[in-house]
Amino acid sequence: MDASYQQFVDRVGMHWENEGLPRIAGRIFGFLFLQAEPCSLDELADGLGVSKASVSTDARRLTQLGLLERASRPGDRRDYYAISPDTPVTAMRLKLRSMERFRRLVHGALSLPGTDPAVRERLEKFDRVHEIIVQSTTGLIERLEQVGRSGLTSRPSGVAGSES
Amino acid sequence: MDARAQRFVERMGLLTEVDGLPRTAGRIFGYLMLSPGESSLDELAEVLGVSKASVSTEARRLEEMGLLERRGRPGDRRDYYSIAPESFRRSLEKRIEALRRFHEILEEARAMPNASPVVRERLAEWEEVHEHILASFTDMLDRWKGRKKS
Repeated sequence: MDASYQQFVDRVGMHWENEGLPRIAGRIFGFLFLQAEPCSLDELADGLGVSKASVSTDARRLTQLGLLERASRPGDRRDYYAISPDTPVTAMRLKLRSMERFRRLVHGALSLPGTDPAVRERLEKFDRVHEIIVQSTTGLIERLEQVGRSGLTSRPSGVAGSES
Repeated sequence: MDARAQRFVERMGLLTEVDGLPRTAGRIFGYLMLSPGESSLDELAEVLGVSKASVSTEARRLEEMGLLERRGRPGDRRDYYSIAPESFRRSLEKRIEALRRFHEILEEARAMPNASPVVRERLAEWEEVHEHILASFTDMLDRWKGRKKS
């Protein structure tokens, strides 16, 4: 890996660490981001200089979060991992599902007997917040489904700010 | 804690685990959500049946995410935690900051030499994806602030 690749992998590792994932998970994600082809666990362990056991655990975790996709090759029994064009939408769908579950859970707690008024007010607030989150995320997923399909034409304005 | 509250706390733990956070983080959050007051780390460790070291790490993490607030009391050296009053706004603002930083990493990666066409296309696509996510999160924040004013 040349220096700029290495730096990218490290920065992505730090980013995901700030998001609560182990750093190695973020480095796996960053490493695969720069690969044109799916990688085996051996290739990942080799490329990142960590044990195969460690990459195996974290690659599986990233797959559960929808951030990686498992792939296989004919006549080869090993697991391969890759970032796919569907990755962002898959990850958002999983997020949406967990937010819907969170909302149901909070909604259910509203009927807990003997709830303190302050707690009830908080639960109601979380319920409203999650209504907004679920609505927005549903719309976001629809827009993300268009990315890559319709080309890079429908970028939202005034967000990145560095395009001009 | 009664049985239903207990179940709520456990389910919250399982839910955060699905999101990639340790179960203890979700259990702390769930417990504090049902508490009118604030709790010390000792109390959290005791009611949740986990070590104080573990609740300490996870409470800090939740505080950094903007979800919990930590306070001290005069003449008491312990830290007390409660759900942050503006937890949604705070955590969303932090997420937006993090997304901006990630978008920057992607943008800078464009200058990388020798990236294959597949990787270049992926970088462009993820940049666009992140612009959509940022727009959506910013919109959520505006909607929440707007609702509160009205």
